[in-house]
Amino acid sequence: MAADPLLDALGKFKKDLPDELKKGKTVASISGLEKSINDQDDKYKDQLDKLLKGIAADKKAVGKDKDALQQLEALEKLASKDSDVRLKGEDKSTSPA
Amino acid sequence: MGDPISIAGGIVNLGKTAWDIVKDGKATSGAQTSFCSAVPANIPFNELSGWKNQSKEWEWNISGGFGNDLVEATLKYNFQYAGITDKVKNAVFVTNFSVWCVKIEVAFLAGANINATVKGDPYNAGSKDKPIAAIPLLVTAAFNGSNALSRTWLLTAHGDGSLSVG
Repeated sequence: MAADPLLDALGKFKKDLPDELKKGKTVASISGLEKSINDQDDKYKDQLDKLLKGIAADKKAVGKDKDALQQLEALEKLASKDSDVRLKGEDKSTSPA
Repeated sequence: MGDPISIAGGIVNLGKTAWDIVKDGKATSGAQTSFCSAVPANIPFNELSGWKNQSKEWEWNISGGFGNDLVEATLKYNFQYAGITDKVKNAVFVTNFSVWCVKIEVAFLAGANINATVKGDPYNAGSKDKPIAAIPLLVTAAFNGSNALSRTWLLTAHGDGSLSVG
């Protein structure tokens, strides 16, 4: 399986978390999304929505903190495109012949 | 003397014309017992004999953008062929042609449906003197991810045991 950019970004976000985001809604939603991606379960879209809402809320909360804002926007950019890429199917079927 | 197939009343399908194989990502339990056939119209089925069996599995796989598996399905067809009767010389018929899903896994609410539909009528794929009954079955698999993908296989089972795929 190819590298998963969102899982990588979520891991990095948690690792490099600024103090002002440690109790934010973004970080609170990460473990649920990671689990959903790893399990490939049917909660993926709900968890992704939760993350995006968390990011939007945290962006307002951090105000003009440039570093925190940049980290949130980078994650938001990746997460907002994730379902389009992740669910874009490629047919790899075999033939019944 | 007329042609053998006309004497037999033509070739007909005594089975179904359509059935669901996978609905909303789950294998349909009735698919394995749903079948179509290409048999002589005027000859009781119990007068046909000599049946042989043919079957094979194949995969319907949809891979996602990160190499993740969105749909992994194993499909199987089965049919009986080489059915003969003294009343239609040199003719071979086909019955119990079925397609079902052995297993399926669907990830991320991607959505998957598969159905089978008999395409047209059974026919004689052989010659007047050596009839080979055949029945075409269209299997359609639909995937609803970010891009809607569908895949169709036109499987034609023949009385001589061959299966053509279009």
